[in-house]
Amino acid sequence: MIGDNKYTTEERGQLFALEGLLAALVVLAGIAFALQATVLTPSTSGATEAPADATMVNSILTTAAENGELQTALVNDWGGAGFSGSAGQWYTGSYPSNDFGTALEQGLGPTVTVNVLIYHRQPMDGHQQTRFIYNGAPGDGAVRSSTTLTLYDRDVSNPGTFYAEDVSPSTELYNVLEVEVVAWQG
Amino acid sequence: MAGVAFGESREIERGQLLLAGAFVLAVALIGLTVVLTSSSYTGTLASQESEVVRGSDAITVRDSVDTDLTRHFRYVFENYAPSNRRAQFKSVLFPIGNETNTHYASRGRMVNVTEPPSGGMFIEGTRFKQVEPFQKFTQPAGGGTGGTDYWYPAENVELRNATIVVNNILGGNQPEEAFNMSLDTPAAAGGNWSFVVYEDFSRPSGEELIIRSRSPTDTVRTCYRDEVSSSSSKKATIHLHNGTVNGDDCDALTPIDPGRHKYTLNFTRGEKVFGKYWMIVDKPPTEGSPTLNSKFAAGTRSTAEPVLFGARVRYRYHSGTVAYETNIDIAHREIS
Repeated sequence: MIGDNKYTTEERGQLFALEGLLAALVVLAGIAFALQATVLTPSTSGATEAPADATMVNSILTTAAENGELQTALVNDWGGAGFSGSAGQWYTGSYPSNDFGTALEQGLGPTVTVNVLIYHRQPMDGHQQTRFIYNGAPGDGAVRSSTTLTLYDRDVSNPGTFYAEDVSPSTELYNVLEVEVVAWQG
Repeated sequence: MAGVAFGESREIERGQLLLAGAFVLAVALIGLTVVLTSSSYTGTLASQESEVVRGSDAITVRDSVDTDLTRHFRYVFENYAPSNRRAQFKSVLFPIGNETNTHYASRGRMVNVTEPPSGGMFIEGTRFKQVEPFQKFTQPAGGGTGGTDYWYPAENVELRNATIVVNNILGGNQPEEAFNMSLDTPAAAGGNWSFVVYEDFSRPSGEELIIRSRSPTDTVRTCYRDEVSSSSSKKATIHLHNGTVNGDDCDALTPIDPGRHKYTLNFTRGEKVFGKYWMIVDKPPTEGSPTLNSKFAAGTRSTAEPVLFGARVRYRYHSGTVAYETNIDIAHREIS
């Protein structure tokens, strides 16, 4: 009987430990849920405002590609180690002061945050990504649009310092960039 | 006593098990809530692929390919001799198609740009031009076709880059006395455009030159410009394809859209106007009269030279839900 009582006490200890563990899980899960619920509360922008206008994003991008503004922004603004008007290598928290940047800023409004990423193939190194505008990971309701921009040899005045390499040295093609715009409220 | 103690212990253990079970249920419910919230967020992201499903992505990619190839076609057209233009344009086609495809292949889409399988990649054309600045538009040197007051440079052609530089206008201040250019459709149903250029000195100074157009539905539109005279600074450069006169929009010309339609080009009362002009049509000079006015090339002040009017490439787009193949006509009327 004594042995039985001792064995029961050990079991109870394990159950106490299990209870403690589960209680900790409940607390942690509650905290995690609360943190996530904070993002989705009615007072936050993501849950109550309409998501960024996908049609507008696509329209700005395709129009800029057609009229040459996109090429001007992505090629002429490159300063050798980063985009000339940016504080670092890319723009963060601001738009570039060119026609494409103005179109994004005026077309999407101050409540929309934007990432503009450039994908390009390197002859010996697969695909690489260069950030033009980067404001962190996209938020809830993010919309995406992309287009391609073909660069010819004559478009790149200083290929040695340009972020994309010449993928077709024997022809006048320089590279084909894929430009992706991701926009979200935030 | 021992039995009672054992019984109490079992009750306590049972209570603890119930409590643990309640905790497990609570954790499961919270986890389920988190998972459901996450799934709605994933749904938002997934909806962004609807453009691919609807097919608008195929159109967007096609338009960007069209823009990029047109830009190169324009460059080749302006910077290479006619004999080298085809090879220069063709050399970038395969690598552009290949590079574009590598971007979309990673997302499960196939995009390809190639030569048309049936050939006919390049569209031959002719550039007419009268280069003497103070010659009448009556007819090119070399003979008459329909008399001195009637002349046509080409029949059943597509037209682009029609530019007329008027350096002087003779007499008359009424439309029926004016120089007239008409774009007549071969079809019996009509669709003809025409415009006249004349000067009316009864109008206020600075509005003497009148360009008046007539649409296929007989809508008349008019714009006014400064007087044109033999003075070198008093001229009117009319870009029909841009709808401008001396660089400014002209309401009479803006609606005229000569690209992508077949027209017969007529000049009437060409003896009323002095100046030069040039235009490109989509037929090679070898077609000869009456498709192209063979008299034109014979003149000393006028020429008809072969040009590359346009190019045609095959565009293919395939995704899990969309299969789209079409021809893209490059630089149909973009070259100026």
